[in-house]
Amino acid sequence: MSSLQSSSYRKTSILAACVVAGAFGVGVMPAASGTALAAVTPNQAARSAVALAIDPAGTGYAFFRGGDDAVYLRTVPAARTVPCGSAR
Amino acid sequence: MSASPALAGASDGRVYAFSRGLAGSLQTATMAPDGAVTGWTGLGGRLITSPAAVSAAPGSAEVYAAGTDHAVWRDAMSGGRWSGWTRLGGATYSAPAAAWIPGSNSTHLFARGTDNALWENTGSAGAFGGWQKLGGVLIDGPAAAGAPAPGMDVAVRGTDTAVWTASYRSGRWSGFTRAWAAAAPAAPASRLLGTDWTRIPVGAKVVALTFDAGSNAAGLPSIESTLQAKGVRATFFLTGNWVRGFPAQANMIVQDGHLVGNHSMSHLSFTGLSDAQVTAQVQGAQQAILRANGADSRPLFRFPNGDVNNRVLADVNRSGYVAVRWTVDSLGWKGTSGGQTIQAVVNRVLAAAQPGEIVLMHLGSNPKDGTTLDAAALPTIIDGLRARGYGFVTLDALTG
Repeated sequence: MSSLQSSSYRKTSILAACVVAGAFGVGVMPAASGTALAAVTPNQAARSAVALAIDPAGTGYAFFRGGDDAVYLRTVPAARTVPCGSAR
Repeated sequence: MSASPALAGASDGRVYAFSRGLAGSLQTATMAPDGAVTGWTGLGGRLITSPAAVSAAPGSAEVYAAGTDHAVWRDAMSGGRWSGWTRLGGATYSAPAAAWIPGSNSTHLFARGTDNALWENTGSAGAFGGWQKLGGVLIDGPAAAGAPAPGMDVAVRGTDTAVWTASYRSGRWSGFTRAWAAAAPAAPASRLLGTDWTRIPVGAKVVALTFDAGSNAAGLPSIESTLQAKGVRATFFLTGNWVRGFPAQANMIVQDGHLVGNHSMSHLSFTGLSDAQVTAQVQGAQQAILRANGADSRPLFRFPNGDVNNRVLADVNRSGYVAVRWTVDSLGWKGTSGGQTIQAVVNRVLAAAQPGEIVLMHLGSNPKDGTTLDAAALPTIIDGLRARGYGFVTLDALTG
């Protein structure tokens, strides 16, 4: 499994993702390279279970293994109110 | 270690790490606020999943995992002393998740039940109220984290492979919302189509061990134990009927880090099927495997009985799969009643050793004599190949 990139790169990418986030985060980034943001498949499918962390502002960060076995991070905004019983 | 680790950060700056060791017991290490890390310490247990952990107070940690009885178990530490494992019940084949809501004194446990729904169990100071069904259809274990507000979120993968999240705020759960729609995987490279591959076209001395599953799982415990002990990942071709019959084993294969391919729904010989029947066999197995253990079997496919012609090969390719045959069939599946021995299986595989060798073995026992010769021969096969300078790869070395 690829390791995550340096913290500075990760932080930059997360901030960039938050800026452009819509209803849900769009901070998909590859983790295999620490030097450049490579072209990746939009809406990368998770090929593993997800790991979740939430920062003090309530923003969630979902980590998962992508189709190329790299680790991906995607932001999940907080403060949603969704009616119970949404179709799945 | 044999499964994904779990971390719990305490408010005093310590970080507690947990992972399942090679023998299935839990291991723990602690990082102090100054960055100093202890060595690993064993906490015992026999785990079938990765652990989940939380820390609700300085100097304390709680860890959860499923045991060999598929129930969720708990161990807790306070003041440097561990309580020992206690059984919290439930039934799961997947790793649980744990969350602690800041400011509360409750730990919330989540698990994918054997009915594939999400279940929750809430406790305080080790006393839990029992499992409550939250619903949904999950394809693997959930994730959970405490959130400010206060509250918590859970994230799961649904049958569409998308990530879904739900939030707990002010004492009630939201419904699940799809976080993003998962894109379809890229189609296999055209160079991989039109061929039923019999070896990986490489010059390096690597071998791919592959195991077909279609009958039973009698050899799997031994095979898994050998692969873990020797640090080898393998590729498992599963039928849809097999994963439905052996869901615990199907999840074990994925959680131990092996690669999964598609071996059809019901192991019929394909050349006697119509194009539509072939497609149904392939796609039916794909869905069954995904629902069983969350694995996307694409792009690896193996024809049942090796029965193939150009027509069915094209059918399989159109479904997004690369067909993979084998360099050598160990013939362990024939059993002692078929004139095979452990040594004959070993000799056959080692004699065929070559760069890119694909070895065919089976998980199940011979139906006549009950032997599992492939499982019995595996340690000697791995040692013998290594002695000849070979390393091991999974079949993504072929598909890229």
